[in-house]
Amino acid sequence: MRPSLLRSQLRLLLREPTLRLGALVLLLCFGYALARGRAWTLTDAEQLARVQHDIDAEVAQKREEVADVEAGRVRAEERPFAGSPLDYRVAAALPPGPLAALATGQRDLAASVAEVSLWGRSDTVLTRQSLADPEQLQAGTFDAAFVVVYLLPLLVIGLTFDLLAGERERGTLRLVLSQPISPAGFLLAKFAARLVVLLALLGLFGVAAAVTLGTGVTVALLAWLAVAAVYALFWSALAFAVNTRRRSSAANAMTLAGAWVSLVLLLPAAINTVVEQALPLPSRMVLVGELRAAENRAAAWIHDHPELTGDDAFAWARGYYRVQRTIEEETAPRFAAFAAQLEARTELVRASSWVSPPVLVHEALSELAGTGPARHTAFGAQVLAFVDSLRAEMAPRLYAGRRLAAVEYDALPRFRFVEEEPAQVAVRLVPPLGLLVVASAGLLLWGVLRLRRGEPPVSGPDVG
Amino acid sequence: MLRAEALTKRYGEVEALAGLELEVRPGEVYCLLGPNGAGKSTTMNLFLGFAAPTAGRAWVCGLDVQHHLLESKRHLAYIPEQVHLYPHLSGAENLEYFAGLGGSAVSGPEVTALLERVGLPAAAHHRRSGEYSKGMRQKVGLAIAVAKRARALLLDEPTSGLDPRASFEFSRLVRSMCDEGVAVLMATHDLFRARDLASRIGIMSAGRLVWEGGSGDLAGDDLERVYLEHVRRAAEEAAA
Amino acid sequence: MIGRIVRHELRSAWRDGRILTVVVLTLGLLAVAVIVGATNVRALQAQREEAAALERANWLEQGPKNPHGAAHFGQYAFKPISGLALFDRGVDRYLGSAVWLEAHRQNTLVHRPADDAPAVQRFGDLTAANILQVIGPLLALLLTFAAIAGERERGTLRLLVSQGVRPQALVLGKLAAAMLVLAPLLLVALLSAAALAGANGLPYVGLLALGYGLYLGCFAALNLAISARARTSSAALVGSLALWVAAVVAVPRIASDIAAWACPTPSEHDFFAQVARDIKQGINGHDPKDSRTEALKAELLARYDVKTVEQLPVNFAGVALQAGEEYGDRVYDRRYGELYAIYRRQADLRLALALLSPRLALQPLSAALCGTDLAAHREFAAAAEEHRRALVRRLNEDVTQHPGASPFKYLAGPELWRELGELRRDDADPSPADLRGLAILAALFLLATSLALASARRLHVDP
Repeated sequence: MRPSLLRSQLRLLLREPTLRLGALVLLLCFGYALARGRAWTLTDAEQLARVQHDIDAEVAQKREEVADVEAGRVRAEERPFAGSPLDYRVAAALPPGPLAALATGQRDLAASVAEVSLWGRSDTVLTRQSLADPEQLQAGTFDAAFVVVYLLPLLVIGLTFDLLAGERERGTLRLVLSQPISPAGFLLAKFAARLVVLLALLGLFGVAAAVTLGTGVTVALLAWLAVAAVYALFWSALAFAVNTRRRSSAANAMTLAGAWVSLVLLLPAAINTVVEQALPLPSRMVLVGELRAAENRAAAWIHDHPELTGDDAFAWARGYYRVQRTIEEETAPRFAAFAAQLEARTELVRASSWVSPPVLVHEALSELAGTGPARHTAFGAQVLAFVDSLRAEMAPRLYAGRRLAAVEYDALPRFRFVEEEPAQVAVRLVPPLGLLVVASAGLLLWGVLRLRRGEPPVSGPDVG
Repeated sequence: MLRAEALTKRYGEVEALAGLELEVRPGEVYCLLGPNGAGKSTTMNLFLGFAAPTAGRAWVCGLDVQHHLLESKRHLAYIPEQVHLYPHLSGAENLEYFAGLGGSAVSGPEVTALLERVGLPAAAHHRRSGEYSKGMRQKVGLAIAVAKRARALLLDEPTSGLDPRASFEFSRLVRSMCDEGVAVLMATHDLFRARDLASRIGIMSAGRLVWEGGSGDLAGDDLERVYLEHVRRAAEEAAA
Repeated sequence: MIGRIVRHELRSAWRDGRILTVVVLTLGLLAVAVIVGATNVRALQAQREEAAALERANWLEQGPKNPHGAAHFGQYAFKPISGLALFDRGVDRYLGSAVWLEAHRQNTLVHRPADDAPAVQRFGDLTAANILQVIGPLLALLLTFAAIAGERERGTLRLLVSQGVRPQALVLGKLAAAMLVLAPLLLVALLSAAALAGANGLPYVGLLALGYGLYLGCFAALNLAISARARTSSAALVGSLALWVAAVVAVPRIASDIAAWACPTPSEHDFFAQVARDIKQGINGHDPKDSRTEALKAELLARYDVKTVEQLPVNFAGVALQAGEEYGDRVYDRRYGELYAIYRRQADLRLALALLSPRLALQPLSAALCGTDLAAHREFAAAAEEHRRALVRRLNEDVTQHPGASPFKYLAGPELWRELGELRRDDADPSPADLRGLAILAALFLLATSLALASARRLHVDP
């Protein structure tokens, strides 16, 4: 393809009213999504800080109580529970990633902060009484990932459904192809011009995001944009292939709209249905019943073994703690089965994302923004591990009836989320995205070969 | 310059063109006459490579069109019956665009000169071509052909629907190109225009060239008589 | 005249292979969705039965306990699943399914099905309601986009008008024909859903059919208006597709986003911290818990004319517990009231934006009629809360009636547990409170039809 050809197509494209309108709408959507995402992320971070602060303040107060007893300002009998290991709490938070504003992902649904202490059990530490508006959760947020996954393909379709057919229907194609230029070359130039504009729009959004979010141009941001670009490439290539059929522009529009509905709306919903039907989860409601039955049994057992609780100030706490551990042990196989099924579901969805570009891209955009399912799963696992380490530290004190000394408070475990290695994310995302690139190239090649075969597409289906 | 050699095109059972032999030399205007469906447009399409011949060859400047699809078009300019332009671009921008596609980029003063030469009013140069009349669009089409400096020109019913004055101006411009050594093949229904412009005339019917002669061979109303007679005879043969 | 046009259109639709194919495909999708929905709802209902039975046994077998201990053990209540949930899951996936009814606290429901679902669920559910809401308008589009523009392109419009056909009659005929093609689809989906949902689903099917019919009618009429104005059928198609994307996909999302922006929901941390503060320091901030208890004690001592709590004929702990409980109830009523007011403002805002997208009016209406909206959820939550308060009150009364030196040494047994029943709400009949969506849909349909008629009045017969 001659560079001059691309230049002239680019000039032609930039004069098109459809492009101006489409680009404007896309940029407005991106702008809204960015502003909204930024506001939302700030609220989110403030919220985490507030939870952290409130819990720390409460623990600091407990520490003061202990210090008062230690200093003799208050008599020990007046504060029998001071320094109880059961009272130490710490907030385990999943901080929003620097790009969280670009994709809400699972963040509006999954817990991103947990209160960890000797209270409760591993099945309750991440269960929350959410007050989130269900309608909002169901509708989903209008984030940049939505703009990319849902709306960007529509702009691509709007710009490309009549690449050849439109020229034919307007009558310009005969004059064009009487010039020394092949149909494939002409179509490729038009295609490339559109891709250049789409990439420019994405680039513009990238700059806006880098400035607005204050992250500057980072590898993660570039990767995010690259994923969006690959997705745009896929849709352009699909539109290119559809254009090589000698059909009317209305037929092309219909085909591409059908492809969009099938790929973006129906296929993911179908995948969801298949996953839920093929890998049903044990009922949470029945699990609740089983947990409560275990609680009854554990309480009766501890009632019959008063020697395990003792009779000092911590007796009740000791009994409570032992009951919870007994329930956990008894129900562990049920939760293991539950977790295994969840894991199998994740695997199945991941496998299905190889054939569903929107699912793949949505997951990739969320993961790169730090709001994806994998990061939330990792958070859950790290919280549970942290719970274990806290228990290992505190349970011996509880059993021995040893209070926490004021100075000890400062040395107690704190939670810090360890991010997944970028390489691991890449290993997971690059192969299916690579396949998407290969598939796009295949579609382009197929289209070019089809155009090379047979006579130039100057006449449509209804002209002899 | 333009040569058809036993050029044949079949669409299924229908023979659109049957063994056409034709040659247009530099500086010559060859007019193809014939009723609808006689094979005039098929001939044009075969020279343009828009259709592949079932048999025979089309030559442009010594290049076999089928084997040199792109190169042959470098030497060929084409003005369809309806010149369709990009309506949201001006005439000047359309000219720049198409000339660029043809590999002969023009700009600024050249564009103005070309549009002036084909007689497009200066006030219209930078107006949206969507507002142009058919005659104005044909002129831009001609300017595109001129800009290409093509050695052969294909005209497909270029004056149909033009008023007599526009038609006259168009002929004058074609003749001026011809004087520069361009070979012109023109398909038309306009007997008057054919006699006025052509160096040679061919009458086609049912995919065959049924009569050929120089414009000097005819006088007065002869062309109309010859045309009707040959077309009637061809129709009778087809019926029999 | 109109009847003739309708017959002609129906015949054309029947002969158009594409339309027939899409109708059949949609029917297939609807069948799958209804069957899968029915299977899921049956499974959920069975699981709920099992859990409720298990929980009842847990309550009865909790062994001898002080009644206040039993109040802390509490009961779990499981939300019933409406039969018509197989047609429309509404917002059910994003609401909890079980609530712990315990002393001192009004908990919200936990275990949202969405919590355990894969992330791909955010693309939407394959329910019959979703298919009708998303694919239905596309079908309407297929039937109508070329209705006028296509006739104009083919030149038949000129012929029709020259035959004396009024353009308005033409538009109305085409609208009626489109609705007649869509009607069987709607009825098949709704009637099969109602049949599988059981008898208690039937009363709402008529309203559902009306709502969905008006919804699809809006799209058909708007597409006809576009078709009458567009220069080519291709332009009409692009215009109608743009309308579909905006109304079905983009606007509902923007609307709920705007609603959440305008009336932000408090986080659970802030909400429950506020509740704890209210209870500890008093709702007005000047009535701390300790002084409330002191006042209660003074009042009781005066009433029974005794000097110490040990001399009271009742167990003071029980009285204090119940007083604390009632104070807590006031706090919860107030704070949950505020929260629900926020939800209501958000819903009102979304409904106001329904002018831009009929889906915003249909979604809440459909969920309400299927008993899967927030109102149905709240109704259960309110019943559960009422049950909790009665349960805790009875247990506190039992404490009160057993005075003794050591208030919590008294143990109650199975007789008391048996006396206290479980929350019985098996009939999950939807009782839709809010049918404003239906009125809005009707208004939108009239608006769209008059738009189409207005376009017909200024019809150009030539391309």
